[in-house]
Amino acid sequence: MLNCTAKYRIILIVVLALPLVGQAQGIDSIEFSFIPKSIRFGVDLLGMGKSFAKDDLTQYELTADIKFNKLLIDFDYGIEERDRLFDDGLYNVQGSYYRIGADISLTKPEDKGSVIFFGLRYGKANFDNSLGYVVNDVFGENMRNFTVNGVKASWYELTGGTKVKIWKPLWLGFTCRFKFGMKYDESDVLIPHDVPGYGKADEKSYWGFNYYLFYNIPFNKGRQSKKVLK
Amino acid sequence: MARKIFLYGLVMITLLSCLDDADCTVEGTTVVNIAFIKKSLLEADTLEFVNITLEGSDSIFYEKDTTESISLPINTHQTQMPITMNLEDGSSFHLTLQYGVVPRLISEDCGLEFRIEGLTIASHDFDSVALVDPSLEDEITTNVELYR
Repeated sequence: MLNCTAKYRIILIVVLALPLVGQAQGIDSIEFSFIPKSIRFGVDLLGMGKSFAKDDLTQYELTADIKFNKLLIDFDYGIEERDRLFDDGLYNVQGSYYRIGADISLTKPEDKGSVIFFGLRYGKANFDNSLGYVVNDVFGENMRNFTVNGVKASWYELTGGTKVKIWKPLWLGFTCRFKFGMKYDESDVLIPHDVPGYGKADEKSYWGFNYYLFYNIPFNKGRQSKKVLK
Repeated sequence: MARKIFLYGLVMITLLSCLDDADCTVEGTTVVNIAFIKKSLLEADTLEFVNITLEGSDSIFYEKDTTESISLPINTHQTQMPITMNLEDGSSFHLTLQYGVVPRLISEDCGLEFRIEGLTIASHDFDSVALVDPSLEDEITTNVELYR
């Protein structure tokens, strides 16, 4: 039986997918080109906002995508540090991550001011985590500290989102991420709670969101693809 | 169209923000269940305890109690726990459990849990001992059987 959160997630997946499917049905041709049209560099505004708003979180992410007509090759790199304070203890995680993957644009060719996409990513993180706590039970009071460095984790993502031109080279966009297939180094010292770039390590699947501000650099317009396959 | 979806996404993300609620599900237990068996008959053995003591704890367990199985807390401060069982007939038995302790933060609200791994019998003075289930996954399953 599904719990409330699982039901909610399934409904949201369907609802989020609807506009993308609608767009896909409007596409009647696929353009192929191996000549890059543009490159976009972006910064995650959501992570930056959280970093400013919260004392216990630092999260910065840079992204880049190269556009080949309908295909976008994506690369993200981020750093994250998080403290989780709980009764009688503190958990800390810090590390970096990257994601690499591709998106397919569902936008019609004449709509050059926006991109609607879906795609796949492979994510990998390398992080250190530590846990310090005091336990008071029938065996008395005990203070312990554990640190595990160089933990590696990997996962996959289904992505969907949009990028819209705001002003000249500036674009805004968001990416919804359905993360799954989390694997991390097993440790007999400490079980990680957070994985940078992924979220809670014990969640088999996880949602993620990014709001990006992009700077778009178009390549030579004279070399645009001419080949259109119907 | 993309601009509409961009705005639509803002609304969806606001709704999805509530998915990060804390889930206090624990994956194991720190209680070991021990059953007593009559070696000759292979049936439950009822013991009359004066008390049971655990090294490292001032607490007394099963004082003036009669039972055929016991449940004891694992000492998560150590990786070994000597147990002394004093019986009404004046005899006493010893059992030392050995294990690994791996902490895990469940969430800020739920706190820590300790996963007990690789439970083994380090020593004992019963006739024989059987490690039935070394994984402490629930508080019901018998982990150790002691024969006398």
